[in-house]
Amino acid sequence: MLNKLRAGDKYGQYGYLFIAPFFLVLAIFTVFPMCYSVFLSFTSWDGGTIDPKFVGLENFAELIKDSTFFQSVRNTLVMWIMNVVPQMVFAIGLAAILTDKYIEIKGKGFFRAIFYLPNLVTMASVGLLFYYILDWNTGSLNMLLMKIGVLSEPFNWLQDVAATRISISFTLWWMWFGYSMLIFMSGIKAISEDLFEAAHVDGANKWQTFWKITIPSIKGSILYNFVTSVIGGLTMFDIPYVLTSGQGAPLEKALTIVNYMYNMTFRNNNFGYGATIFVGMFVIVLVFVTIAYKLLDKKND
Amino acid sequence: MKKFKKLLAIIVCVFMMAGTFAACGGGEEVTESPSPVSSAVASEKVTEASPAAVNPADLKGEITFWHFNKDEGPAIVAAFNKVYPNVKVNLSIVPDKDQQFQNKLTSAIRAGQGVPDVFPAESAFVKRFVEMPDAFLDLTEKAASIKDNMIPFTVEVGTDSSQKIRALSHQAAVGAVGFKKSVAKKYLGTDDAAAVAEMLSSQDKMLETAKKLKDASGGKVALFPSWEEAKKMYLGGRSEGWVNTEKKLVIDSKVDELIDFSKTIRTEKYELALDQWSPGWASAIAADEQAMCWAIPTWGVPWIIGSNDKKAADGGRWGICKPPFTYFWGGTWFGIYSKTEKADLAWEFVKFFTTDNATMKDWAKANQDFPNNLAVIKEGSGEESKIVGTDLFKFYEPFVTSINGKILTPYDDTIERQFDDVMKSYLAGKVKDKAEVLKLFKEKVKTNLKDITVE
Repeated sequence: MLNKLRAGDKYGQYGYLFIAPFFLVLAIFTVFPMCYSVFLSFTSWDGGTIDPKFVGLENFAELIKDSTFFQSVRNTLVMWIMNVVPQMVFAIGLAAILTDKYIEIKGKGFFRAIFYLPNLVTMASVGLLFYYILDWNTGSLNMLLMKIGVLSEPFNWLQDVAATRISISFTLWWMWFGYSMLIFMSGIKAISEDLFEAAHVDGANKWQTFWKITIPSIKGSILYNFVTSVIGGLTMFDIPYVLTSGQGAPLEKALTIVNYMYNMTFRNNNFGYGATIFVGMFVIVLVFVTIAYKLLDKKND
Repeated sequence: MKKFKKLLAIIVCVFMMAGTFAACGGGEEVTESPSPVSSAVASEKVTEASPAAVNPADLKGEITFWHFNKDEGPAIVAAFNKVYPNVKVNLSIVPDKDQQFQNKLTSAIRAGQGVPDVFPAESAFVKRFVEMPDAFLDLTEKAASIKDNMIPFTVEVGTDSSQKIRALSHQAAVGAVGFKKSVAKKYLGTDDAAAVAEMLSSQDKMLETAKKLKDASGGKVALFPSWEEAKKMYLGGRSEGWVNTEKKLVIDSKVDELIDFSKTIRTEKYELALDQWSPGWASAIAADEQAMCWAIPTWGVPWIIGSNDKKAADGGRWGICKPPFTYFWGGTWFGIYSKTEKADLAWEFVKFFTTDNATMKDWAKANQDFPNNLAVIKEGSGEESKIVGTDLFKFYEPFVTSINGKILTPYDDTIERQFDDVMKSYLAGKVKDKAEVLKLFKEKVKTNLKDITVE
């Protein structure tokens, strides 16, 4: 029927016109810059008025023995895992509690809004806020800890590798668990009420209901969240940038891949090598995303 | 093209006409010249820049001008148009947040299209544009007769590696030391600027003074709020910049001294371990008894002291003295696009606010700035600064010429960020000794600047 209708349709081609703006924008602002970056990765260019000079694979030869690059990859992965695991656990837990109709909590909507709130603030402002809280000399965290007697003298958080990484992960967790929670909540809401009621009637406790019904039913949401966080996590930039004076301080132990690329390109004016770091990062993200999608596919089977 | 020829014809006519007028008027107008028009003519006499001085009001045309500062840009244009009412300056403000100004300008220069006739560059990136092919026009000849009235370091900054002058500045961000008078008087026995300067005149004397201050105040007052105050002075006192002409990284003896000095003042608690520009650092400026000395450039009098210490303008709280090592901190330079079709008109514009005595004096007073004009500096500002209680022109005059402008390189921003990172770790006790500091620093420079030789 539909095919029959379409056979005589002279206007079908106009459809392309309607979707053209999107593809045009995509081409100009995403596809072209990406291709151009790949081109630049084979050149040496300071971003100045002298045209990029083709240097072949020189940049890549440099990249594979660049210890700072691999350090930044390690940093990014460590901080991502330290952020994404607690974020997921927390978000699922809260989502389960806030959607459970057998648990009486006053002001569920209020909590939902409050948990989501940090996500509405600009990343850079959140970074700055935490930077001031963590300031070792005048920050409120040290003042608090000293007042209650945990510390006897101020601790320099942002000069300690573990503390810096934890601070960054914590900040990201604080910002994003509300967002993940909302996704899980919608996933849980989509589960048929009958299942929960049946479990309730059969005398299953909360814990059993959670593991046997909630978790298996929101696998899709979990995977979706995981995949988006792979991309978001590997490209993390704002918070670490602000918290580490843009340098990945202390001594590059909190330098993320994007931060390294940004510094190389825009602060050191080495556009060629900056693009090479981009390509390196692109390959890494591609590998992770492929794995994540494989997992998604498996679930669909 | 036709339009351009027409414009050129007009300019040439104006030049010729003005030449005759100026020749008549010049002789008698040196002393009594209240109107802006004749003051400009008078300044032509002082600088003797062009053989035929132009009557500013007759000069017609249009130039484009970009600036990254939304306050300074319009102010410059307004000052210019007061004297040159018939030259239209099309101003665009492009902030340099995330290097936006630099990137936009570089793309335009690369494309050879849409480049403004005149554009500025800040000290942080001026060298990049001074050395960039096709960016700034060679002003060596044009500036030959006026450059001697400028503070030498500003000319050095605007000069490229082949000794061609590319950019000129209307201001000079000369560095000094701002100190709390009450603290100096109470614990060191004097608040006289010369005496305080003497107490800070060398590394040993600074340490001695810091100890005296700490002991006398019972550990309440430190000499500096941050090691970064000392950094400004030490780096200014270097004899060579971070990178030499062979593109090799240079660790000047002053850098070497700075590493030890900073560590000493941190461990001895002669500084408050605050980060420059942090809220704690700012509140220490307002506090009566926390630290004594700040690195204060010319603009720092209103914008570091004045804006943080609300009581500063009442006077008597702050003094200013000569730093142990002369330095400069900041500043904006202006140049003309190398391929502009309006080089002459653009030159009038640049020349006007980098040489005109009356304008520069008014500008400096109105903006609490310091003019890059030796004749004006010599005259003095004619008034005492409300904040530091001295005629600032007279105060800076004895040491402005000893500042080294050759130490600025296009790599400073990147190199100093690496230096800060390593130093902050060192001062926090995370890097064990100076040898390790230098090793890490060199590694970082090597990673970040591929075209620099590091040994």
